Amino acid sequence: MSSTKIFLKSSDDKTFEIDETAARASETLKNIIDGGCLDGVIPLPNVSSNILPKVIEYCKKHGGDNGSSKKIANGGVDKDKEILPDYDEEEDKREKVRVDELKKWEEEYMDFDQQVLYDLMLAANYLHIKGLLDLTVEKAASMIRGRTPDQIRENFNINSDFTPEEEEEMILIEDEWDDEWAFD
Amino acid sequence: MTFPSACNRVDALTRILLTLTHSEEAKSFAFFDHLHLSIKKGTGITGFPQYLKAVKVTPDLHSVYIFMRTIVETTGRGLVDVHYVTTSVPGWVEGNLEGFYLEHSDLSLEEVLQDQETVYQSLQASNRNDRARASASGGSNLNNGQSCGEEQDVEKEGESSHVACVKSQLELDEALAINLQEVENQLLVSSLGESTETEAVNGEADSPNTSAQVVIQNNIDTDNMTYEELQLLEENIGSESRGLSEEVISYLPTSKYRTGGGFFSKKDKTEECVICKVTYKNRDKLITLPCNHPYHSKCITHWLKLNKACPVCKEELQSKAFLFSTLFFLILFSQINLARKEGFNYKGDGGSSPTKTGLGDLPESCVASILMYLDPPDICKFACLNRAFSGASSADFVWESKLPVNYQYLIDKLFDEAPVNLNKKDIYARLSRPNPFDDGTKEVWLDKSTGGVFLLISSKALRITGIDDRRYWNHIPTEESRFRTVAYLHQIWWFEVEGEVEFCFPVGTYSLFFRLQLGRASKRFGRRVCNPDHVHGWDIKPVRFRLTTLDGQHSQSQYYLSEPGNWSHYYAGDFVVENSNMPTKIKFSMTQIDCTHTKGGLCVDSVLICPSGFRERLKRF
Repeated sequence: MSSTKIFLKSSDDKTFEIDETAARASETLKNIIDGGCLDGVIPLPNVSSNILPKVIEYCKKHGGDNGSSKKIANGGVDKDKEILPDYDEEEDKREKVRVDELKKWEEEYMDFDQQVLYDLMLAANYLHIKGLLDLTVEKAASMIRGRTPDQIRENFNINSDFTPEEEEEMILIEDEWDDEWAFD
Repeated sequence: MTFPSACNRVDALTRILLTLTHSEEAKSFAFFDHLHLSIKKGTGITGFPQYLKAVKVTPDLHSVYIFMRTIVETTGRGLVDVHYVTTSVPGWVEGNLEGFYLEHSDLSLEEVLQDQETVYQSLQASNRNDRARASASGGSNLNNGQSCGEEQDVEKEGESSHVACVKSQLELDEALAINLQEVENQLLVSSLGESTETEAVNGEADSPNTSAQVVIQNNIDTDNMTYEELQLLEENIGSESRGLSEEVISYLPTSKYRTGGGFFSKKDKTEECVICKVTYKNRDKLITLPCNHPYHSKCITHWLKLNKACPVCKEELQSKAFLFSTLFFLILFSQINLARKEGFNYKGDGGSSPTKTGLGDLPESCVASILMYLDPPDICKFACLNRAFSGASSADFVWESKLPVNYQYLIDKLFDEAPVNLNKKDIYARLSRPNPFDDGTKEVWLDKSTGGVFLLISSKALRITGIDDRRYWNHIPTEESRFRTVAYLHQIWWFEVEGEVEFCFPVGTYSLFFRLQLGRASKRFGRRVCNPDHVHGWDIKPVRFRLTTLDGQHSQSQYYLSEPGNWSHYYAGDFVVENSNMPTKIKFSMTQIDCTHTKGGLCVDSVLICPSGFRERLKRF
């Protein structure tokens, strides 16, 4: 089963190869595969050729072993524990090492610039790769946490797309919130 | 495009959004001198100051900042963002520029610089009343206007690629380069003179009104202008008309009047608008003029239409022409910097404009996922970033994750009638206010950052031995309690305070504190004084604090009460809640029943139960 290859075509018409097991890490791809629409290449018009390898890399790492990726996603809580009858301490230890390794790998994996982060986030969103989405989103959150909106505008290139009236309204709403929370 | 050149400049300016002006450093940014400061913070424009030397800054350049900011804001669309590199790359400006411009061979730094310089010099020149060069500099301004139009188009396509904008501008500029070269040659003499004449220039700029006016006079032909253009011109010159137009007034920064705000804040002075003599109410819209005098925005708008001087100090609002000319420089340089920066960051891919995804381009669902990782105050703050953030910040599923698991219980318990049509965000907001229950003797609120449940129990809800005997205990009103009243102990032998509460706390560990103070505080002449007269007996034996829950958790601690005049939280103990939907019944007490001595002079305010994560913060503050 693991030998089945799937071909993905990026938005700029480049084709990439991925194992079926790995591809199943993505809900979207899984549905396509299970739906039997697998004739030839799966086009991914929302993912460009410089992001797709990154996605595939993640899937390869996580597609094979659903258990541990779930573990990470659930913050280390292993739901399979009760289900596995032949569960023993040895297994637990190995599992732990694996999780640690995975964490380390993720750390290295996530070492890229903002641009890639957003694209990767969009790709993960589009392909429904929960683990990857969580990873990217968490990183994005840590980048903006605790900053003022002005700082964020400045650092992240955000244009306000509100009309002036809406802008005024926003300020009003914000004021109200401030007031509501002005008790301490 | 037959606008007077001054307006063109304004136009050119207005199409550029200096984001830096929004930031907190912006205040220092206003001063060109201070610009050094913000540059030092890593903007990387090392070449900046030397170009601006000629622009002398008057003491109230605060107003430059204001104008800049608002001009930018009011023109809303098609803005070019100017972002400064936050990571400092010392010296790269000189080092990398050439490389960049060689890469994009259609650009030339020289040209940009020349252009800037030409305009700069033409301004200089006009400062010197040199009419001969007027037409040429007018041309360059016109060109600026056009290219900015170009920029706008590019921006409209939803591209955040600044390079494209700059490029298009530069390409247009190129066409005029020959013209400019000519001008420059003409100016060469004067520019050579400039370096030695900075002082003189500064001297001239000291009288900004005149010099700025001169600029305009040099570059325009009033005979050929339409009425509107003349009006615009008039606005921009400003000095002839005594009042200001509504548009210009709209550039003034508005603010909202705030009454104190804080829970314990005191409002000792009432402020009023000197025009209408009405005291400011909370959230009145105010305009503060550059001279720092605030007025009702309605009142001052009316006034400024008639007279542009401040009603109090008679200081005239700065001539806008001057402001604009200084801004012009600022913008030009930010453009250069933009080009430089893009060159530095942007890996060229043969001219096809890249669609860069930014934080601002993420769809709402992604933004919402990001927000799930943030604190509620941050979520609210970021709502103003753009539509996606605004939408995501009200998403129920984001707030559902922030609300305590048993929030439905809290709603039933705290709200008189079940709120209808409240989204989760509003529920959160309402729950994070202090919500009284049990006849106002208890309050519950959520910590607005963590969503943790806080429960405060008033002294009125405590069983105090001897409370009805005025010789021992009194309820005294005070501003220092949330319940506006505390129990005050004169003196007693048998000191016993106990209470109990039954409440559904979300799963977690909670700490219980008694909020006490030795001595009785009051206000004398507006200052807080503490009367320690009755304080005695607390250093002989410690007071014992106890906590038990119905499911058998015990905890106790004892302290000698100290620090007269300061409210302290005395920690009684922790208890663990394992089921969010089962009420936890907690009994707590505070005793000192050694009858060999009396104790007195104690204020008992309340008992606080909060997530134990807050313990360190609360303990004895």
